[in-house]
Formats: sequence, C-alpha cells, structure tokens
Amino acid sequence: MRRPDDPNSRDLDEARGHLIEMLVRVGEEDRLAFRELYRLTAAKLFGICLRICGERQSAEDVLHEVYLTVWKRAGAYQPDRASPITWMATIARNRAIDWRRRQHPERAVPIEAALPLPDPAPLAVVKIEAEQRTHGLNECLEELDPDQSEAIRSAFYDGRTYAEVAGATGVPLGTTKSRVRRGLLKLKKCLERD
Amino acid sequence: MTDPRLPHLPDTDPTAAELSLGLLEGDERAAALRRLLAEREFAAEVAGWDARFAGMFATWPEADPPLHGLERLERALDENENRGASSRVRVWKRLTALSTAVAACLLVFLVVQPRFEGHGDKSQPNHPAALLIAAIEPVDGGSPIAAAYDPVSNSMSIAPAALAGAGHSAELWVVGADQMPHPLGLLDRSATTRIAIAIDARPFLDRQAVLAVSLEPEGGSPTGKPTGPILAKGSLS
Repeated sequence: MRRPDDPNSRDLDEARGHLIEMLVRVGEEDRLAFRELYRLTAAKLFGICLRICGERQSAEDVLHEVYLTVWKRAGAYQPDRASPITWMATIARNRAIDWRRRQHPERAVPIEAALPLPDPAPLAVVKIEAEQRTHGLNECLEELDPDQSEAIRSAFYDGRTYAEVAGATGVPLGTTKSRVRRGLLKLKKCLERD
Repeated sequence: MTDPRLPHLPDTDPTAAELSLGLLEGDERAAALRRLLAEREFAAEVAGWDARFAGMFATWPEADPPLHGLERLERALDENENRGASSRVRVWKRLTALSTAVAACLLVFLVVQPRFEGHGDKSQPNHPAALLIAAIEPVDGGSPIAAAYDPVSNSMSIAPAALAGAGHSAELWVVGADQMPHPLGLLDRSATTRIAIAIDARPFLDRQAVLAVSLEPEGGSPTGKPTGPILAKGSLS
C-alpha cells in the first residue's frame, strides 16, 4: 500500500529507483554503476550467502560468482517484473543453495543450525527497501501450525531440504513432507485471499 | 490486496513452492527443474512464489562483505575484457575443461566452421568477442550436438541434429535468467543449422543460459512456447 505523503515510503521509492538505475546501467556494462551497485547491496547479499553456506570462505566465493552473474545478466533485468533487490537476492540465494546441494551429505552440521530464524517483524529502518507484501506473507505464515511455518522459514533462511527439516525435528520424512505440503497449500489460499 | 503481477496458482500441486524454497533434492529436484524448462505455466508459478517469499529477504541480517571483494570482482572483469582479443585461445581453454567425448565433438565442429577461426573485428573494447559453446545432450543418450554462438555477429551454428522424426521439427530454445524458454529456430537434420539470433533473444544468451530442443509439429511450435517434450539440452559456457 503506497502512502505518498509518508516520508519513509518516499525514501524507499527513491532508494529503489536509484538501484534500478544502477542495475540498468550495469546491463550496459557501466563499471562505475557496478561499483555503486556493489556498495549498496553487498552487505545484504553477503548476509544471504553467509547464512546459507554456513562458512565464510565459501560464502565469499559464492558472493563473487553472484556479482559476476549480476554483471552478465543485468541486461535481462526488467524493472516491471521484479524489484531490483529481489532479483539480486534471489540470484544470491539460489547460487548459495546450489553450492550447499553440491556439498557432501556427511558434511558436519553447518554453523547456522544454531542461528535463530530472523524476527518476522520488519525492522523499523530497512536500509534498502521493504516489500509491502511482507505483511501479507507474515500474517499468512502465522496462520499455519508452528511446525509448518518454521519449516518454511528454515527452508528459506537456512536452505534446508525436507530431509534436513525432518532430521532437525525428529519427525519421519514422509510425515514432514505431507505436513509441510498441507502448510504450503494453506499458505497459497491465504495469500490469494489477501 | 492481490498484486496483479502474481499469477493465479493451481490448487493442489505444491511443487512450485517447494522448488522456490529449495526443499527438494535429488530426483525430485531434477524432475522439478525439468518442468521449469518444459512448462511455461510451471515456470510462472515458481516465479510467483519467488516474488511472494521475497518478503522474507527484508529482515535477512546483513553481514560485512569481504574486505577485497570489489577488487577481486574488478580484476575478474578486467581479465574478461583483456581476453576479448583472443577468443580463440579462450575456446581452446574451455574445451580442455570439458569431458573428452564432449570436447571431441565440439572440436570437430569448431574446426570445420571457418567463421570461428578468428575475429576480424577488434574495434569494440567494451564488447569482448566471447564465443559461447554448448554440447547439447540428447535426453535418451547419444552423441552430444555441438553449438557455438558468436555474440559479435549474433549468429549461432548447430551441428546436424537428427532428433525429430518425419512430420516433426526439432525446435531450439534458450532458457535465460528469466527462466522462460525463448525460441531461436528449427534445427536441420542433416546439415549445419545457422541461425541469425533475433534481437529480443540476444540478452538471454549468456554463460549460464540453457539451450533446449523440443519436439514440435513440422514448422515449429504454433504457440511460441514449447508444446512437445524436451529432446536434448545443454548449457552455454
């Protein structure tokens, strides 16, 4: 919901517009825009890589690959299809998950298993932007059973598979899958209601 | 309130949400990724879930990026530019990184395509001549089909592809960063296919893009999207 007279909303729109401009210029192979884009977004994208990869060196390597991908694909970015930070964050998360999936399954439990899931309440000051849809998603997640919303959020933030969710909760894999699937269908209905 | 960008979701299949979240692994994940390539509606569903779940990025904690991260990136980009004048050397280096069988098929293909022996035009320092190659592998086994794309001339050459039977055509698609298939052209069964890549397909032909071949009615898909099964695919590198 846009409130044009809300200064916070105005600042977010400006920040987003600036990011879009940088990303479009990166698509034109503008190196200065690339530096500026990195300056604005690296902390967020590295936070994503670090949490999913679970260790610093791999997260740094994945971050490097993510920005090379951004450099190569920025020409295909369409501002009306996705917000710039969502587009970049999705590349980062997908790339980190690919790395994670390639690791040997017997690898030691990653560090982030001990990290709590981020607070669902949005921070008062969000540096880059806040997706207005967050309210709908958070409310709908809260309508699910706690184990269902926890599974969904740990899949997103920790990169967990069904097997890892089952392992962490001690619930059999088949049961985990059917419970989470029911949760996803309920989530879908709730989001469409909004 | 409903965001008009978000597509309506079918009622009973959670696979798109599962793929978006990353819950799947092994065979289930591979099957879902194939659907991403082959089914336009499924790809749109997954994109819709990506957009919905993206709200969770807002509270994702930031972390101080590596100290010399930007320097490392600048060096990598400089190297790409410097190498632009020597695309042939780069193609050889990449060939040695591939498996023997695949490299052999690409090598034979490239050697007999004189237009890729060297690039006359070195006058565009901002657009390094970066030949992209792919080994398009048939899904049911068989020798890979070599493809080479020259972004300077916007032309792609593909080795003969006897993939479609009588009454059908083998149609080539590129699946790029937007995860949607874009048509490139029909493949010749017995001779090298040469395609002048249309302007709107060019942004999708990069080093991560996937080339896919689908079975279509003679003359190609009537809908602009794949209508038949995937016969072969490979990644551009």
